[in-house]
Amino acid sequence: MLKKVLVANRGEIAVRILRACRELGLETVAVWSDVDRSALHVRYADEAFNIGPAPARESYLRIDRIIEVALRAKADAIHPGYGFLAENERFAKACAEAGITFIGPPADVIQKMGDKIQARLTVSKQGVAVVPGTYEALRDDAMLAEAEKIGYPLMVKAAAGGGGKGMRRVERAEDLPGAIARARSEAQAAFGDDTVYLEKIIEHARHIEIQILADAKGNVVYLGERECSIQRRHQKLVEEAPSPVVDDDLREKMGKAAVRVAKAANYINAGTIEFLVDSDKHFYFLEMNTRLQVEHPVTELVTGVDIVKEMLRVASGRPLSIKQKDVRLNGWAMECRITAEDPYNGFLPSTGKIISLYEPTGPGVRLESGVYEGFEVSLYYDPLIAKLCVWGADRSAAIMRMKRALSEYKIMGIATSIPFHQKLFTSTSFIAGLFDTSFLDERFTMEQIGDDDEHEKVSAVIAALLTHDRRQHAINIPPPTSSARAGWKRGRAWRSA
Amino acid sequence: MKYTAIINDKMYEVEISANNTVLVNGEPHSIDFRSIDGNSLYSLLLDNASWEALVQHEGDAYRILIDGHLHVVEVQDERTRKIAKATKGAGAPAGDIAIKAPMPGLVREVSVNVGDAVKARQGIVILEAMKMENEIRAPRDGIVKEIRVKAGDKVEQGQALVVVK
Repeated sequence: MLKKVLVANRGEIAVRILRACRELGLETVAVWSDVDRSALHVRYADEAFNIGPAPARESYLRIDRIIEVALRAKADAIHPGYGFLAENERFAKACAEAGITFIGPPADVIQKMGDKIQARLTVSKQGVAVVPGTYEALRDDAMLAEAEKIGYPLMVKAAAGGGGKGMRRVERAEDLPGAIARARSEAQAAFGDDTVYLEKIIEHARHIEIQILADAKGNVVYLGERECSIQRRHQKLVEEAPSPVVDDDLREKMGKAAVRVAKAANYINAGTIEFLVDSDKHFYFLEMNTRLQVEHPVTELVTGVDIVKEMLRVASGRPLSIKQKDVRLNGWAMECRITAEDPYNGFLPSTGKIISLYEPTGPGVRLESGVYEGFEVSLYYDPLIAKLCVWGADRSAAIMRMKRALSEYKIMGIATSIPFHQKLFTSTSFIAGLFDTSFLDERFTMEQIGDDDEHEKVSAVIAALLTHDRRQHAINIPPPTSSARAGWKRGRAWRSA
Repeated sequence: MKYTAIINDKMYEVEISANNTVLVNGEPHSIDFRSIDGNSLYSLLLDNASWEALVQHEGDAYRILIDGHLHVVEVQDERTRKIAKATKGAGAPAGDIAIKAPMPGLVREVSVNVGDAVKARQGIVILEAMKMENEIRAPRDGIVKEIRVKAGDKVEQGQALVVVK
């Protein structure tokens, strides 16, 4: 049994994992970089240790320091969350060598599925369709020859890839050599490995993934699918479960295929098999994520299974608490990724202090947040600051609930993706469930829906009233101790002139 | 007292009169306006319609967040309006704007030339930061007056990239 868990992460996911630990009565250890001293996860954990300067490679990516802290704090397990070291087989190995349980699959499984080319090979041997493309590390000239057989358009992808990095779409043969060169250099910079492969582009495909859980006794269950086609430049922004296009029959087929893949890889712990589903509902293996996913809450909301607790359970050597027949989908769940990015300005990262924060609550709302009023959003880490998740009895109830929750969510001081989500949730294509992975990039703009005149009028009135109040105070109340805002602080009703 | 609120180049005349009423473009409305947290949260009942707003005050402008939508409002009273009129056109955005790097990064591409007419939100510079390419856009229509960086330059946060007039 585990007693004390170190969470090698920060932000909302660290808090999510710490909460599960606390509910299981486990002691917790947080780690922090110099800029995260006041972060939520540091304050939430039982113990917290500094692991270095702000840049991730000097702190959250420092395997040696994290292992050292775990030994010092006598933690018997480490949960890596997502990102940072979550899919780093050297980290999993270092944990094992230090006698610490890594809460995730064994190092060799991370390696096998993390190499996208090797994963494609493993999966295709299981009789599961893989997106057509190359299956080995090829030299550029061999890749050009293969491309002719695969056909255009196609995608150049990094074998060690993830998060949209090292990916290039290629329309014509003459663009391929340049795209390979750029993808190689991007992959080298991001992952320290310049191996790339080719994948045919399946037009109008949806990105749908299957969550699996596996224990060390060989039990593997699938927890249904997540619809993740709402992406901007390969970055997911909204996820839902179930998918509007997956029926019971397709779910069972995809689920069973995912279980076959997991078994073939000797998979243990939580994992996700990503598929592309074409307009004829044929599905093709894309890749496997050997970690907890950002969007895991939508699966939890419709299955009632706590994925993080199952991960802790499996890591402690116990069997899964559920069998396949226990998995039933109930209702509909949606997640909006709230990022510190400005949707009106090309999703440019936005940094600064959150000066006001009012969070949504009420029936069916689950907020996974890593920020608070006064928190300084820095440039050092992922712009994801929170995940707003809702549950509804059906898809339309979930949509209405998300719109309601978004309107309650008020963040001032930084730009956020909230206005994007509000526009998306009024888009008729989105509401009708008619979208694929190209929807955001090709058929959606922030300008698409007209601005609300009523909001403008109200804003105008408020601005005029505040200006008026400042003027009145400037004229009538000159003492230096009285600021223009003093009147508001007394909470009195505003009085007109 | 009469004020002019400017939002997205649209003008609203707001006249504040006695008995908790305002005239918006000549139409009367009843108001009840209160500070909620003594800081940035306000409640407005406008003809009994209930609105909640977060307000941030920056110079002559207010950033007002209502139902998730952010509005930047500039307010002029009769006096400041006259001054603005005397110096430039009525409330039209004027003067040079330096488009600055919102973050430290590497300039990948400068997509405009000196003398080019640019539209609001048009891409001006591609800046690579955190291994992602970010498009820096023009804040409003204008003419490119000056380009201070070139592809390959490393820039600091707040460094001017392009000046638009």
